[in-house]
Amino acid sequence: MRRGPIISLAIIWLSILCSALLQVMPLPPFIDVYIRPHWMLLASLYWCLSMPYRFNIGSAWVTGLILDVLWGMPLGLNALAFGLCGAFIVSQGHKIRSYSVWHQALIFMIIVAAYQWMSGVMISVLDNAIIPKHYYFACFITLLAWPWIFFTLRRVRRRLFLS
Amino acid sequence: MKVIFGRRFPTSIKIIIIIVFTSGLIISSESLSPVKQYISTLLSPLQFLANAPLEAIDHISNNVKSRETLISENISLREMELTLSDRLLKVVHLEQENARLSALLGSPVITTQKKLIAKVQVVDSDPFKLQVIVNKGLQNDVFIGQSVIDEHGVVGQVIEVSNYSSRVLLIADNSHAIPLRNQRNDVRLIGLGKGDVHQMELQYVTKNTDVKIGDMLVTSGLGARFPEGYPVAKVTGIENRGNEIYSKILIKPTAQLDRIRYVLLLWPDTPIQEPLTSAQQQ
Repeated sequence: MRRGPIISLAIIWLSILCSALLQVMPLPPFIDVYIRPHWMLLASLYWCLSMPYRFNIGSAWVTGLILDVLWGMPLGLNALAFGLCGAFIVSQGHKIRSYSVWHQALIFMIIVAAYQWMSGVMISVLDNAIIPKHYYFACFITLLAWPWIFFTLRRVRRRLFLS
Repeated sequence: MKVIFGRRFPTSIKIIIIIVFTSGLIISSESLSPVKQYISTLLSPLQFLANAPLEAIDHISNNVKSRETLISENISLREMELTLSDRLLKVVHLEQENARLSALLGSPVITTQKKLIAKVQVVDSDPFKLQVIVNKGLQNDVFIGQSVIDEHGVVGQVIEVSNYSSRVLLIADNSHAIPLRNQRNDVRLIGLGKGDVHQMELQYVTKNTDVKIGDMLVTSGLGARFPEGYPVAKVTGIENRGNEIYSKILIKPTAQLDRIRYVLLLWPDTPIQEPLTSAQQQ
């Protein structure tokens, strides 16, 4: 039993909204700074990886736009970074999909670091923001978060027969 | 359904499209603020939901407070109320006297009248900005540029409003500066945020300016953003380097910017003419 594209898209965007919820949930500063994975980026990249025909660069861009509004950043800043990360995954997805989960986690950690670098450069140019020293530490938790996100969303995809 | 040749655009074209789109957004960000306001109103349920666990914990801790703590809290609050009302009696008298004196001098008296208590909703996790979201928005006539204080001093100003919530930039953010006045000798100063909630800096203070450690700095009312006379910061350190014209002066905000839960929104008595609306009228 396969679902139609509209239901699949609805479920995908629902999962993106759930990740947004995790992203903006207030947490103690230590957790917030060091061990909060970048849920929205990882969720949108999972869908780029597994279903590029439903969710790809444009959708990743919209996801970034949602994060821009939630964080109150200049519109389009996270959007561009999300879109570029999504583009990388879409173009290399056939290779990355065949790797083991831990190998994928390593790649995604590098992508998250690249995303942080991109958005950091853009915000410091646009808004004269100072990048705190601990900013890049947050990418390491991706190593542990990616397997969890991968298996959870894969279960969602298989149980609900998304296509 | 797997589509092999179904791609409408190749990836490279898509990348170019999103880059063009994004630069369009960034260039026209000034005129897009209504759109942003609309989207953030649309997303406000998400923020309420994200804040729900914290609210629940708050609620529980309020409910399970023991009788003794409530009684002791009550007593201390009552004592505080007595001392405050005593001071308030004097303030009313002083206010009248001040208004009369200002009238004699011919300078207009600017007072704030409407006030509203707002609860801090989400302490934002944007890593680059010191800002909080409060639970009052356009529904309560909050406007951009409004000053926000708490019980100890100035907290910041509103930079973005949606229907049910608004975003407050703290005075310690590194894109924020606030006009100040030294309470001891009325020297005018500018307090600059550095991205640290415990420390700010005074800008362009020449070495012979009379500033001492422990001086209380209040808002000067210049710039017509913040009302006059609210405490902002205390001077905590002065560094004089031999080869520089200006001395480096560190100040500490009196408001506890890292643990604010309730803030007060202030409305000016005379409505501020926003530059945008006046431009539209012309």
